[in-house]
Amino acid sequence: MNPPRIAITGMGAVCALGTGIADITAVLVAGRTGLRPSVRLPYGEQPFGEVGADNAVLESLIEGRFSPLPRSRTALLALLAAKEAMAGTADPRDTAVISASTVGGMDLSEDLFDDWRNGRMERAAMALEHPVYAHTRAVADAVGAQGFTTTISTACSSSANAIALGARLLQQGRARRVLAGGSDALCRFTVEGFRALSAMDAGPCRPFSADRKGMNLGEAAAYVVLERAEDALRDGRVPLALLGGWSNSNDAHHATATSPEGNGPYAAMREAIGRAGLAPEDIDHINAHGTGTDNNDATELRAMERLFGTVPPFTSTKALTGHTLAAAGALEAVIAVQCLRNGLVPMGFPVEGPMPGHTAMPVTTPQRRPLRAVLSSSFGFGGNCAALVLMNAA
Amino acid sequence: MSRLLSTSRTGPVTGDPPPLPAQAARRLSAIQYRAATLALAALYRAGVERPDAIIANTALGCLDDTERFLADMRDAKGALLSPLPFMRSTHNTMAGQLALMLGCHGPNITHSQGLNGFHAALAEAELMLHEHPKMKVLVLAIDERTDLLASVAATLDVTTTVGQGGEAFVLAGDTEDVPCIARMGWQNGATARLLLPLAERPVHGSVVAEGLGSLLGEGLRAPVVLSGGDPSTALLISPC
Repeated sequence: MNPPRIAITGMGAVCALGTGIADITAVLVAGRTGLRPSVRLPYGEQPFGEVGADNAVLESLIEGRFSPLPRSRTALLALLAAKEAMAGTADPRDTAVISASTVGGMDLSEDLFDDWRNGRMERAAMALEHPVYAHTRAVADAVGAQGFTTTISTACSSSANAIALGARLLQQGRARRVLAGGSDALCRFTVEGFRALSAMDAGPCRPFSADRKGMNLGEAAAYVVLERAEDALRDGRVPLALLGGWSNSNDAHHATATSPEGNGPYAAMREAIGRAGLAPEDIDHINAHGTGTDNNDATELRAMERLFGTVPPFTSTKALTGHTLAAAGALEAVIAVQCLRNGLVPMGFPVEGPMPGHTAMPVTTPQRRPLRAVLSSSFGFGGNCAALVLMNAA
Repeated sequence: MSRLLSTSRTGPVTGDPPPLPAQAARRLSAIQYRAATLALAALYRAGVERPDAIIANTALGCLDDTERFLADMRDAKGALLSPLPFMRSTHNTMAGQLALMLGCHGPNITHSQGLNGFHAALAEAELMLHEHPKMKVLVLAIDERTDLLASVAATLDVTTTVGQGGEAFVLAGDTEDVPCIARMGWQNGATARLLLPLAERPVHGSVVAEGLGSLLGEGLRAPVVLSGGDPSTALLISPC
């Protein structure tokens, strides 16, 4: 017996391209980047994928306010996106919540660290928002979900892994509905970390470009609602898309770098496509991991060339949103679904030619064409490699 | 259904596990070192050389390196920072390091959900082993305590909640006739004693893992239930 098919029946997102799926899609169609200097962080002209709204505006946008609202930006972004995703769910109680984060409440902790280490504990309660799972509890409470709840923290592949776990819970009958995704706010901790690793471009990032110099950080929250397709259809709801395949593998090569042949990425992409019952030639578009670092883009394209031969049109939307870390897998899955629904191949950085030693080039201007299956890749620190296959529900 | 083959302290293979190679040990942070020691002990006791998947659980992750990097950011005043504490500060540092050390190219996941994170890690292992019964899955729970954590926790009056410890388990599918120390499956209506609360108000999932480890070390006599609060994912752990 074939395992039940998994449908995506709701989505919500907030990122540098906009607040809500409709806004984000309009900017993708128009082909504009969301990268610009940060308003909140003290890094001069360096570009970031920052969400335009400050915390006060985010609070005002979160409908059906409940008390007390969390203070951390990661949680505020998460609430906004999760509520949008769950807007069409009449009875949310039977919902599992699987979220993802790498920084959690670090935006608060990095401001209060000096107080705490010097014994000034007036605002010690903010430490309760530090754990990466704090926002997950806030999301479950805010949307009224009472099912299984956990938080995945596997660096930049976190929310792709959250979506994969959700699919397995549904296939094995351990949940009726799953809200899966992730959230990470911009904070100085990660900016300084990637600067120390010399992984940041001082200008706009240039994924898959010969002269790429590193990444730009971004912030986002994105969630999908997953159900068994048969349940959704029985309840009279049309799936937005199908989650055809997913995978998780480990490159086991180096703590922060991918093996030269891209073995982990290759295995992850191949397994996700196989699980979807597809062959590589069935993939119409790839939303690549494409951070813009020297190591990632070279090894990722090498893995794509090994798997596909002729690589299908591929894009790194990180050139538009920045690298949103734990949220990236879910954000790019949501973007992939909107591409399927709108027949859109989005643009990334407008490279002038292929990287040395390669012939394949990323998509440089938005294209309109029907798509049936999109592969979305997410790789990260610790060798973590994940991939998702999104398919047209029609 | 799945089988628990071993913990860090008990399993079919007795005697002392070999120590970590000195060269590898020198490169590890304290929490990575403890994680590696616990994991290698559990693998040794199960007679498993290389697991097919690694699922870790940590509530607060690598606090020592997180604090170190925050202090560097504060104190360096524009000087170039060492990336090492940042690289080691992510929650998946332990699972990633183990994959590297053991050459494990399979699934590699880290869960964090306070007290419930260890249940979530075991639940993910159960889902994985249902799909792939031939796999051997390493499940690891680990947390560390720092002076700063202790003083913040004391201020918030949650001193009973922060532990420093961990435990590792090796699990396999239920199809092979391999020696096991317990069986695991979804609770599905059976009633049994809830494993929790083990400590008064633990926030670290590793405290729960240690509780299960010590129960299995003594020899499990009656089934226990491990739950994250949602009945449909409650796990029943019963004697072999």
